[in-house]
Amino acid sequence: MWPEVGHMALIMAAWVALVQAVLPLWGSLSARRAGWQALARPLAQLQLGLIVLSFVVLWHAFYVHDFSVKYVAHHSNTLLPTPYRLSAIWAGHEGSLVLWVLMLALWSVAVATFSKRLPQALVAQVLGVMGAVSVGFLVFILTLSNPFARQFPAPAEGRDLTPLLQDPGLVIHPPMLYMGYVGLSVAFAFAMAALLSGRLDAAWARWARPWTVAAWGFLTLGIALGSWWAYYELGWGGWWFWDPVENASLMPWLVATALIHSLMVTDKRGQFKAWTVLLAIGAFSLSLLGTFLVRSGVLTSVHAFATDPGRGVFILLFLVVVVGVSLALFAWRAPQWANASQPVAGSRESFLLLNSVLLVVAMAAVLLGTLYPLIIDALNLGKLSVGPPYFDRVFVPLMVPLLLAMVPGTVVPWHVARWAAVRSVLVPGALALLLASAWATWGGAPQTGEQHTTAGGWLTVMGGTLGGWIVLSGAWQIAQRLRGTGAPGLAWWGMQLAHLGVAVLVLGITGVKSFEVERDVRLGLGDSVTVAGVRYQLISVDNHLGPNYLALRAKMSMFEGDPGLERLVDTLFPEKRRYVSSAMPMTEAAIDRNLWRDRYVSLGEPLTGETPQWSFRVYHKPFVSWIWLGAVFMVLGGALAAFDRRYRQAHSPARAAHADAPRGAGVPAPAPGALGAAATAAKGAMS
Amino acid sequence: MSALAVNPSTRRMPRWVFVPLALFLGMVVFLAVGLTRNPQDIPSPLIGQAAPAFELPVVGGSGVFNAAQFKGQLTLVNLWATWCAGCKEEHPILMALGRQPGLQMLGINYKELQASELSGMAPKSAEAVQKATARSQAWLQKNGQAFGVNLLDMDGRVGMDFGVYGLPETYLVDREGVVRFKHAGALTPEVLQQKLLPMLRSLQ
Amino acid sequence: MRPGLLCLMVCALLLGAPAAAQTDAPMSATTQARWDHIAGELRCLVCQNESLASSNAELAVDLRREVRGLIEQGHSDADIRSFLVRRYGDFVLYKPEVKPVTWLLWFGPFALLLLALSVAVRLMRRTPAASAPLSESERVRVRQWLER
Repeated sequence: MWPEVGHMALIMAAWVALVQAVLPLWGSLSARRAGWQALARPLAQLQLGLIVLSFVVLWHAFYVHDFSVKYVAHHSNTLLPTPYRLSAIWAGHEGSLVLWVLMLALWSVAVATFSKRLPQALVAQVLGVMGAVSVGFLVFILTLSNPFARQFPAPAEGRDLTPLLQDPGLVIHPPMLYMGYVGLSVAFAFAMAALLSGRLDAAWARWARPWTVAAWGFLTLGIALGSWWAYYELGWGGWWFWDPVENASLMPWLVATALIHSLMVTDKRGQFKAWTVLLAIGAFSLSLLGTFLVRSGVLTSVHAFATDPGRGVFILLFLVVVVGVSLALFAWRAPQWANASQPVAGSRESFLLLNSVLLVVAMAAVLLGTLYPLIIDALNLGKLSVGPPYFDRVFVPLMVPLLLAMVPGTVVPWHVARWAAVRSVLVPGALALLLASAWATWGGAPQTGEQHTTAGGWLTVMGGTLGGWIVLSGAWQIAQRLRGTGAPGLAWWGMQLAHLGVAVLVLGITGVKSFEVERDVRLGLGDSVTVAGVRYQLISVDNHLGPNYLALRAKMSMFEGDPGLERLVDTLFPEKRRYVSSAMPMTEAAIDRNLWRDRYVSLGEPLTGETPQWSFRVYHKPFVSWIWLGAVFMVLGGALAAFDRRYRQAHSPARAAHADAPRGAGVPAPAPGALGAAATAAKGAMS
Repeated sequence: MSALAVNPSTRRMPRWVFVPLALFLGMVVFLAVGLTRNPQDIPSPLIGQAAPAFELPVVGGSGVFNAAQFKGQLTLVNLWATWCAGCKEEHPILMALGRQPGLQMLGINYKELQASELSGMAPKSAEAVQKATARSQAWLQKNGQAFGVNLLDMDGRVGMDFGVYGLPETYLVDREGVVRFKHAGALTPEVLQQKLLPMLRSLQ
Repeated sequence: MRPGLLCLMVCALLLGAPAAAQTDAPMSATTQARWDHIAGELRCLVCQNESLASSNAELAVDLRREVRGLIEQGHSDADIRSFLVRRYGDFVLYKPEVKPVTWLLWFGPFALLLLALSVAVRLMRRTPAASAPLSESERVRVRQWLER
């Protein structure tokens, strides 16, 4: 009975979403039906309630092992531990879509709740657009991807959750990632509101910023978690594979990063309006494109759900409608916004313009590489592959100027060029270069025997200099600011922390790629291998029983020091698990982590021979934790920025001005930014 | 007066505003076409090229088969193994094809003994060959003698030269020894009707 | 179950190939260096999400042995690539060759970058624009704003 309740709840949610999409938008554009705008908030709350109900019902079905629900039977069984039983909801296509609409409903209610100081028309339009997106997804779920489909007779036992997914990573990575993907719909809805009403000013940008930064933060977190999870789960120490679905998450991230910077310019200077709107449309469009790529089967990917071209057609049509309509509206409105921006070369606006250009070109490069096999196949020109060697060669050179511009961009003032400001940060730059050179020369792990190791080279120097410069100049800026008067707001601290995060990420990537060591060995009991100054000795291999698996567990002791003076540093227990239900073996790597390096051991299959031997992979990965630490700093920086006081002001003069301007007349309200410039000019003229 | 007020009706639409929309629609066209393709399918670079040179011993016979023997007759080459589920499914179709006049049916038993079964034996040792021969013959006895000639590719080298990446695979080699057709995966009636038979007819 | 994940589990997590491959002697340092250089650029044809180096599909094991043999015989990287392309087509190369059909792929991003930068530079000015003087009604509004 309960699954039917969940199904009904989704059907009702679809109707509510439809009403939410139509009435408030109509009300905002027609003076007679203005009362309908007030419906947006309660409708969003109602939709959330219904979707939460259906989500809880699905959870309940997993919890009580209701295998009459096909989806539950496909993705769990009676032996599955509880946390994975509950996160199995989003392990498959149907359930992950329910997670999508749940996130969308959550963001809608968040916008409805925290928008008291926004004009009613804007809120109505934003929630209306989000409702329209929700309708699309709910209809998709109800027609082509129903998680509540039943099967009778219900099997006594389900299949299993793919062992690869039976990991804490499953509990947190998809929810965070989807919060990011879906959160970009808020920025999109703001952009649509601007396109529909024709009003785009600094106030609009001010209101859109915290939502966009929050979505960006979640997306950053989601991507970082995915990378970290793949690193420890897959067994060979990789953390980014340029897989099509990974690229599908990176592309909206790149555009969202450009968007948060462009919004800053629109907020503070009233410029880049058309470009900001285009970026907002682009970021969410890439989210939707990602949804298409994962579920349609057009690209080969390890992340792809069970593919079905029928579903692909639906998503593609949805994509065409949503993006096509928004870009058509953009073509209509953009000319009226596109004349004001003329940034001065060397001012902060010009650096932020460069930021946008580089990030969007990088996104285009990733998109091109990802879709190129499909394009060539569609043109009947053959079948080729585009993999990591391409992306590394194209993406990295595009990122270098971006990182280079980060420091000057944060020190030059608005509106005017002042190269003296840049000169003041050249000293930290030189210092960074020096330190990076030292790092490249002496940073490698101690060499033993005939190991192959990538020694530091000029790439190390470049990465080290770029990352180091950002860190040192950031420290210098903080020191300067603290010495001066007036405490900087949370947004400024957020910016410093986020930029520091980028630097730490860059240093982590540079360090691990420059100095990592890998050994593939065969070890018998008592045998040792030395990697990067540590001796790994295989002590024992036995069987170990887990809740739903049987594991072969090796005990590896690690010793440091000169022969004769060794001391035991740690013990690692890599495993090879065979899950009861699926009989597929799975590697559980053992990792000894600290801030400076990971020591990583993977157990392979037992080998035949006179003495029992097993294959092992041993990795020494210096600075790899900095990759995810950098991402965490970025997320925290974003959180700080989103909670800055200026976004939480109760009575903003901008709001009053926005509300006073006549609706639908197509005349943008005078923006505080432009007024500020006019006031300064007036003052200048008068003095 | 600043440029803030704009009268929509007198505004021209510059062409650049349509660029994002145009690019997007272009991408959609490719995605739509992509929905009709299979990204995992690998077309064979051998089509239109001479079949790879090889020489393998004939199963249950005393001679060898050399690729030079492709000349002069139309051959269907099928890479198969007893451990391959798809091979069993498609075997009736191969039996039916075997009844076609003028078509030589060549089976290449690819890696009949897989690596885990070799356990120390060299792939081409007499012991391994004997084991593989017995299995191969028994299977064909049971499921039907579809192949006029059956060969053993113990170490997989010949299969690799053909570009095998999954069993079963079927090739058509014409009278000049040129590969004209490849199908990866089990043969189905649709593939037979729509691709294989027309190709056969054109090559007769 | 998702096909990609299934394949990943079958191929990738069976760390440690079937016995035959592992009883091969370890590679010499020079061979290892050359192997590392080329292995990441080759795609596994069975588990298509992985490189030839990390996949444990049986075909990958066989192909690795072939490539290692070619390295030890002194063939160049280009020879190895053409050996594989002759059998499997361009699909097997993760790094697409630079030929007319891939010019757009390799040069497109940088062409786009130059185009975008030139547009951006054209948009920029050398000196800040002088703001247009305010009209009387605007002056009044400014005063009202500043006094609010």
